Amino acid sequence: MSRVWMAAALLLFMVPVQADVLAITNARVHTVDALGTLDGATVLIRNGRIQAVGKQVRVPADAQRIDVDGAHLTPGLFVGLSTLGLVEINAVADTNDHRLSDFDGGAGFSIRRAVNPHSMLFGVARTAGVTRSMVAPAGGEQVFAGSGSLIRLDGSPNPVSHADVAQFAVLGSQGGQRTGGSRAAAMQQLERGFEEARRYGESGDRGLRASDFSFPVWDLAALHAFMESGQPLAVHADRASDIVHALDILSAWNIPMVLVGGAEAWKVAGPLATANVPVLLDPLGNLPQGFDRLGARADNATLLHAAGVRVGIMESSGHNVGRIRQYAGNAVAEGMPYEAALAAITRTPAEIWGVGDSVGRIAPGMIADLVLWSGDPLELATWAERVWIEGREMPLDSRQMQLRDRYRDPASAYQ
Amino acid sequence: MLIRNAIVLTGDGERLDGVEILLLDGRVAAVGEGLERPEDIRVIDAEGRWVTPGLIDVHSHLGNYAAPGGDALADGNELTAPNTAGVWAEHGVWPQDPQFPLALIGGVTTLHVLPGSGNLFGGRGVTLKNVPGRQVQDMKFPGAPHSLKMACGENPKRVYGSRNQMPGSRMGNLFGQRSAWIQAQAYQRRLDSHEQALADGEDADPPERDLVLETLAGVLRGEILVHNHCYRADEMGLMLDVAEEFGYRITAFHHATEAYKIADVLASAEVCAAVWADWWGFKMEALDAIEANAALVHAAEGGCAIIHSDSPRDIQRLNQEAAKAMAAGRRMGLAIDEADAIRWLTGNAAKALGIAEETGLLRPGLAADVVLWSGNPFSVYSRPEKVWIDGVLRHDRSDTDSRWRTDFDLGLTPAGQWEVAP
Repeated sequence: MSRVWMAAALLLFMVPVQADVLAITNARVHTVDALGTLDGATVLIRNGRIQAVGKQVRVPADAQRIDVDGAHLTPGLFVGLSTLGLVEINAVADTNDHRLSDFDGGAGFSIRRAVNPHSMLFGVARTAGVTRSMVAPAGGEQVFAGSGSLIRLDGSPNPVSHADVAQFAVLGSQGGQRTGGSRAAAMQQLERGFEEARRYGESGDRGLRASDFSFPVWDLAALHAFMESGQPLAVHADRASDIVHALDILSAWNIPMVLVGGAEAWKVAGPLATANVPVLLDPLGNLPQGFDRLGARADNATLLHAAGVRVGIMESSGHNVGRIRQYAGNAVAEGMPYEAALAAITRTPAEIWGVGDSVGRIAPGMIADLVLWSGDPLELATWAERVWIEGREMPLDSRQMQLRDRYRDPASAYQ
Repeated sequence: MLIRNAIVLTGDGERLDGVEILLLDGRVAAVGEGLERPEDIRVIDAEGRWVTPGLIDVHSHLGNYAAPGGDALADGNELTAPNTAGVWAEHGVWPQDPQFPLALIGGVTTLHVLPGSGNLFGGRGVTLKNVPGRQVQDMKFPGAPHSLKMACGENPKRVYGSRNQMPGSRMGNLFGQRSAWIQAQAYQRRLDSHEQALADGEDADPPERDLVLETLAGVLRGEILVHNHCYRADEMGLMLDVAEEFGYRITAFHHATEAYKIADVLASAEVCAAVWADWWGFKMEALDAIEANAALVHAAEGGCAIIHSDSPRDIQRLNQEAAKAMAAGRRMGLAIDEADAIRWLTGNAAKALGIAEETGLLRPGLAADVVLWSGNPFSVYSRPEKVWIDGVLRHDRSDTDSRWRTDFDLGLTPAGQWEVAP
């Protein structure tokens, strides 16, 4: 089995270099940008970047031309948050790198070196049209979980495209469990962390001792750098009251916030919109599972969007990131505008994590992450026909596809 | 009541366009064109929308793992011994689980609640109609047989192996199962000889009842249906061997992530495979799950594919799970249409639960368990508009006031009340 995968991984790197100039013509292009959706349009790609988009694009003579006969073309799918590359098999402990159990790691913990560039999951995700994701630590025993990084699924040895772009924290009942038993303690630990990181930063060369702080100096150094960076703190919280308190704390410290989870975010859509705090959520997360989520409902995304909150979509696993299309489709069924739902799995997560100027849209100057679909990109009966990352076409192969083909006629699989 | 102008998927592979369905006294009375009907019957114009049988989930833990969850409501796995064939899922079902109404909104009219898979013999499963009730008895599907939940693979050996108890390996799993069947055979012989003694006019005391062996003997007599949690192809093969050794039938393998590897074997053994559409990789035995699993099981001559949820989340959208599985089949060139895929949620599921004479098809005489969809049931944008169970309208999407709210749902933050001003 591992040998099969090795072979697949090798194949990936042997894909011949593509033409420098590629023209995808006659497409139904979902730009997820000002141009909206264009029929019969051309997307011109040069050196991995989108050079032009529109109905009147002149295709240079040396371009490789692909006429797609009216098929839907979208930006590559961007998962707002997942464990892609961090967890190979959940129940096999030594393939799990997303959470800490025996080490008191906090803000100073970075997940970036845990990402497995040869993860079996990448091929499966690509065949579903996924090209990028945020991956982040789930944390250990502190309110701060550490920093998350952005990955691309192009099969390159270094899948991390942007390292350490946000810090993560866990509030609510889960945060309370980590910090002594009360959700209030989690919030106090958050504030104490900011306060100590500020003092740590101000101490400069005068060098305060570790005993002057309740947090490890290692974590404070990272937290201080984070606070200077302008990066967002991604806060896991579901209960409306936790969300409001988090808004207050982060606004007092002038730290941008991203809400993760947000089962009851719809209840506080107004304050979230006012504070310009985006939400990463699971549109199917309507179950009252746990007392933090009693207000969960199926149209959370719709209500947030209507209130002016930017909504991105996440998936708690890495294996099923292909489901984000289904999540977006369900958001539409529950009243979210189609364009906003498509943006929730392309443009919005890219913007939330600070890379909206280079990925997530089909527009001149953007990185050419593109997916060609067999039909409506949000429909269940649709699949990805072709996928490009940075202008390079990806082989749509995976262990799953190879298994499928081996057992097409099961009785003859070993004959 | 009469539904007219509908696209009907009957649940056994047929699609009828522009037909009428007559529902009388809680049963399907007729399906077809120009039906004779009583005067002043209520007529619903489907306006070309789709109608299917009520959906059936053959693998659910609703009520046994009720929301909001936690230890207090975890009643689905009696993890105190590897053989708990004597426990019954229905004794742990909380009818106030707020997840039941959510499944109803998704078109689920019947569900099979079975014990978890931590034990070799988890206990008896129960088939429920998805209706409100004060007691589980109000929900029980009339006449449905009990099932026995069995498990092979990682779960039992992990649960008991970690306690230094048997089974701690797949070998131990099989040893435990075969040993139990030997006891069950002996128990059945005692029952038989007691019966023989009575028939011979002797005044014999019956053998002392044993709840574990009562369940297993019920399987040997063919009265209780075996639903076997099993992922890997090779292990399903071993389970078939055990069934043959002791003379019982396996009705369905559940999860069966590798059913596609032995689709032909399962078809000829007449065992259904109840599978997910796209779950994979969460444990070693789920590593080889593929999205085309159901489609390949279906494609085998005589194959019986079922899409199950095992999830309070996915039970709300079984139609979407089936749609993904159908798409994976089409992606590899298999000819599978809506009329085929609906069987995975209706006719085949009813067969596996032993209730095919009662529900699962839109055929005269069966229960009026019916869903009227807003569009093609396999579209992500479609929703059940109306759901009837035994002819009673249980869900109407346009009437939010009359929605089923469990006791638990009452008084929880009505919309608007807690909204915080900006």
